[in-house]
Amino acid sequence: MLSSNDVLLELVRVQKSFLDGETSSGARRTILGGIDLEVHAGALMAIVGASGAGKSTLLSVMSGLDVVFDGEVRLNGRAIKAMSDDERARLRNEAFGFVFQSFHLLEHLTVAQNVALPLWLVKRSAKSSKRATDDETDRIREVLDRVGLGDVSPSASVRRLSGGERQRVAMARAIVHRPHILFADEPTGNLDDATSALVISVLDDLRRRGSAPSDRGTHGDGGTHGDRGKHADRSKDADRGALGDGGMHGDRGALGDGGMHGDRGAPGEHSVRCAVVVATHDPRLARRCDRVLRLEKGRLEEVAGDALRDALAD
Amino acid sequence: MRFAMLLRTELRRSWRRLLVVSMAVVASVSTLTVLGGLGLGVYSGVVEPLLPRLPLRLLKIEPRAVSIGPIAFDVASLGGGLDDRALERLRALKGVDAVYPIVAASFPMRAVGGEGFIGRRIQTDVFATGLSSELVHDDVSAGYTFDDVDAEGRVPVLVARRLLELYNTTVAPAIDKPRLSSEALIGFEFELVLGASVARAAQTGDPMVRHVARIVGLSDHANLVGITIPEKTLRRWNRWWAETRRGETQRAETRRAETRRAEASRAEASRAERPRASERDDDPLSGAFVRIEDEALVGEVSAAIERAGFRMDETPKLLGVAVNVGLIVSGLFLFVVIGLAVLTIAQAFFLLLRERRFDFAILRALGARRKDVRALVVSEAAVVGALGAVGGATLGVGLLLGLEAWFFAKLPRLPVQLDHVVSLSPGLLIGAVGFGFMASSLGAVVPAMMATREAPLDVLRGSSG
Ligand SMILES: Nc1ncnc2c1ncn2[C@@H]1O[C@H](COP(=O)(O)OP(=O)(O)O)[C@@H](O)[C@H]1O
Ligand SMILES: [Mg+2]
Repeated sequence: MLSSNDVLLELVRVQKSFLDGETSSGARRTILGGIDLEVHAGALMAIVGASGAGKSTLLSVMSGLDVVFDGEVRLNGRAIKAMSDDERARLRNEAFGFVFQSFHLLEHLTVAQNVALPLWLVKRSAKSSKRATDDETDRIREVLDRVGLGDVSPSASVRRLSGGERQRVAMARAIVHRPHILFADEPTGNLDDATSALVISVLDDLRRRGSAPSDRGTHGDGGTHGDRGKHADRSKDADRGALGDGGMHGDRGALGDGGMHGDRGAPGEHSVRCAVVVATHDPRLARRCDRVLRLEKGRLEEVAGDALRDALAD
Repeated sequence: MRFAMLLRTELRRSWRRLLVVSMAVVASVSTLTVLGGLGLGVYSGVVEPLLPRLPLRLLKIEPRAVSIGPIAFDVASLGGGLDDRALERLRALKGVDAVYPIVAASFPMRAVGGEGFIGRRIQTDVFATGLSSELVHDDVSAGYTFDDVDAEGRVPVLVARRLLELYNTTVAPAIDKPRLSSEALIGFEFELVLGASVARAAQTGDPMVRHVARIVGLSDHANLVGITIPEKTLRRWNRWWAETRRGETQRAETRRAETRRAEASRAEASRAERPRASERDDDPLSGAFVRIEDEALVGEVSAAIERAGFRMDETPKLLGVAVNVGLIVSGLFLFVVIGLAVLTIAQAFFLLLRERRFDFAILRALGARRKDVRALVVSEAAVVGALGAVGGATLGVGLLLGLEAWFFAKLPRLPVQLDHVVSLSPGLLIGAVGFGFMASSLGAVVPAMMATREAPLDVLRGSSG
């Protein structure tokens, strides 16, 4: 079992309701009815449930996009609601990745520019920009390779991409900055089988190996043990990220002290493992997850075995 | 934030709307430049040189009826209600410190000389006025006096400072002579022939006296188209002319009466006016200077002077009015143009930001802070504003130069040589560019704040359904 140290994100009695649009009585419809949840590093977690159950709402609350709720969402012990707007922005920029249900790409940008956006938004000390640009270009190539878009020209306009390609550009954008938690809202919703399989393997790979690069051209191999040198590099990469020393508050990173390095059993190994939270209908995706939770009538239940099969049959 | 990257893509994306903004900036900045450059240029190049540089508390009064001014040689037409008795009324006005008549010569006069300067002897009719030495003593060069004919029989003469400038700007280049310095002019002597005229044949029996005249100073009080001599001298000469003429006329009439009796009554009738004017024993005045006790009283006293039936020299006033009208008209124009520009800029930004509302929500969902988005918008505006402002200023300068070239090409030769009619002062250009830049940048601030007010999630959800 994971120790409590591994808890990245914690939901405590999260409640959210909307004014019921169908009745003019002013009654409120509860979407999230007091949800408790812990997200551990390296977890691949699925939220399943009927359409309209509140899966997207839950992801928004977890990712700090939505702060209008009762209860607490804590990132490494820190209440997200208590943060300033700018701090939350920084969190979304550095610690979280988000794949929107409808992608939300910037249509006027190229593939590479869309993927680069989170990097552009990072507040960085003025480093040698030439190197930064080179690193950035490499990094964008890496993530595009990783989501299976190695053949797409980075300078192509996203307007010309197919739905599946756009989905994967959104995914590349969500992982380019090496987030610690990736939220994906129905990431396989509109994809054909082959692409879905690819996306699923990327997500699985991500939580196992973190958002550091896999070997070039061997995307989706699902391998957990690359060579040690690579992992050491990744570890260094992590130090530059949101959790690194120069993070959010000087000595206190966005996730707090040592949050990311809690499971560092073997030094340099799996140190940037990413938690992945998906909202999905897709049984293939749900089956690959180590936790499946069903959201129904505002309650979240862990499902497994037959219950899982039933849940996914919905 | 890798701001420049984002800025570049956003600029490229929104160039159509931003073009509208920059057009508005170009329009307002070029208008500002043209109107400002024209206003400053006309003031410094046309108005200011024409305005007499007299102390504020010295007013110049003109005779009522004279419209062609001091150029009139027919001195009988001078006066126009202004005579020595009238000056007494002026002196009695409250706030008036002193009144100095501008005495006109009642006889024709010719100047002969100029070898020293022009290289050949020329002669020309001159118009002389007499001024009190008290009024102009500051204008007399050191070592000279301006009192009366001196011991050697020389008449001190003051020349209008403006006349020297006119000579230097128009005559000298035209006849290919070097410009004159005031030092060169002081002490210059020429001959004055009283009672003689180049333009008019002397009447039988007109007296003629030669004097040496010497320029002793340059003055802003001096009459612009002639010479100014001491009042005392001119009054004496006027008296001499009247007396001699009277005598000569009488003698001539006797002769005529003897030979042509039949015409006598008609001749007498036709000459009746002039002797009567002379008999008044007044000198014709071409105006007067009124010195007021205090500058603060200028408005009050000049009103009183006008009420008392005198006419002020209206050149400065008319120029002032013209300048003011010009200022008001161009001010209004500028106001309209700038108002339109600001509206256009603000409207363009509102449209622009409404179109990009969704994009901004995406940026914010990806971690852009409110201030990042605002900075992005304002930077776009600043870039566009700066480009538009520089373009507008360039266009304005081009228009101004074209306008000046056209003006000098189309306009006939003016009595006053204009050096310039537009001004390209760096202050004006910097101001205009700064204005365009600020108008655009500030014009984007409010729309930018409005654009970041909404929570990104609300915007995104609204669109995705
Ligand atoms: N801002 C909102 N105002 C009112 N109702 C909302 C709002 N956002 C979501 N809802 C409602 O909450 C319910 C859950 O929505 P959502 O989280 O998108 O469900 P899911 O992603 O599971 O399909 C839906 O019935 C939706 O209409
Ligand atoms: Mg949903």
